[in-house]
Amino acid sequence: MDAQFLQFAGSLAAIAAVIALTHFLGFSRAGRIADEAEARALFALAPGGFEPVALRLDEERRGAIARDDAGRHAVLVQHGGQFIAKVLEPGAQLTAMDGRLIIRARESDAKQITLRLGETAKNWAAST
Amino acid sequence: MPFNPVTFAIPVFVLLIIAELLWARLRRPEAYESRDTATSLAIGLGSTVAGGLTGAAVAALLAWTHSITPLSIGWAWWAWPLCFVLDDLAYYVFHRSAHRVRWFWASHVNHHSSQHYNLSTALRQSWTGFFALSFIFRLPLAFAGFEPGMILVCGGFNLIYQFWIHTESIKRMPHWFEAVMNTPSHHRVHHAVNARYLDRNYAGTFIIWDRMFGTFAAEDDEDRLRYGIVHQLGSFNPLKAVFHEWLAIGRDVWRAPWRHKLSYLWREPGWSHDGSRETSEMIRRRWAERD
Repeated sequence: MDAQFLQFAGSLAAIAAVIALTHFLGFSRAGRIADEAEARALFALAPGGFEPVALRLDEERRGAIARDDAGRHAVLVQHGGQFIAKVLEPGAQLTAMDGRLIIRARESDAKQITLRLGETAKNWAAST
Repeated sequence: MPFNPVTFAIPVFVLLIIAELLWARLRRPEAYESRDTATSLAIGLGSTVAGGLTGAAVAALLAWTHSITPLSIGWAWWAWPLCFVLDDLAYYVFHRSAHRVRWFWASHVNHHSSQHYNLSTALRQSWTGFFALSFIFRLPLAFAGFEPGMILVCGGFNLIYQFWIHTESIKRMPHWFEAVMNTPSHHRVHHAVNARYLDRNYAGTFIIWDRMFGTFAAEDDEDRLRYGIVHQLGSFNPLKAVFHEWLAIGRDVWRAPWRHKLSYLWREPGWSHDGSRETSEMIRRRWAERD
């Protein structure tokens, strides 16, 4: 039992050290979408697929919104250094405010998403 | 088990992760993300606890199976490589089931839940393997006459082999090596969510099983790899990574019509009785039609 406890404690210490090292080496930075082509490739991975006919990157490339030819909207949501494509359910609220597009999905546990889209935020809010 | 090779390999794992971190810092900053790494390591630590709690039971089941068979191979030197190869075949069968049967997938999915692919990802091992009865894939080896201790040691070395292939730092091994062995290139394909790569390359140590059984796909440098699962987890919570698919199975079984309840356990991930979801075949077909 002592050997197992020591092994566990040693593993825990090593894990803490490695996590600290990843942070020290700068791996805690948020991801950015390289360009529109990258955004399209990411939208294509949405469950069920998603092919944008209109697309806009966040001004800091920390997200994106797109619309397909069926009128559906999808967003690229930042998850650490990567992005996740989420197709918005009907009933999602898009609100433009001061150059930002605020997206509230219909699901009760969904987090609010904010994209800096500049002047186009109003157009996107009106497109739903 | 008198000798667990994985225990001795853990310090080497840590050193290799540190080496890869330094490589990533210089060459590929997007390879690591600190919270993702923390999740991977936390899941790995939990898996060692789960293994410690259930390891004796697995060993006992192997021993019982070995006791009821008239076959006995013993500890001859030639039994070791034979056991290793057959154990790797058993691993291929288990791993293919872990992607094609939702019950086993629920135990395996946390290994694929990271959107990064690095050595820490390798440590996202299952907590619920014993509950999922994943050990049954090794029982035929014991029934065939292999010593339980030999099976467990071979399994341990198989697991150790698979650690180093979880990296983007190695592009390709020599052609002869890629032809026979599982490699970083082959395993990147396995972890990818690109449609063409779904449910491919189930190998543990030897890629020959995928080539033999039609589940092989070569990495295409023109198709940038994206990692994770079809429905990305979107969370760094290790408990969510480990248990989310079990909870989803529970919800689906509860809500499904009686005649479809069991199908949500044994059919492939993505199957639904009303066709509202996509299996990997459907995703691949959609991609092929688009191209």
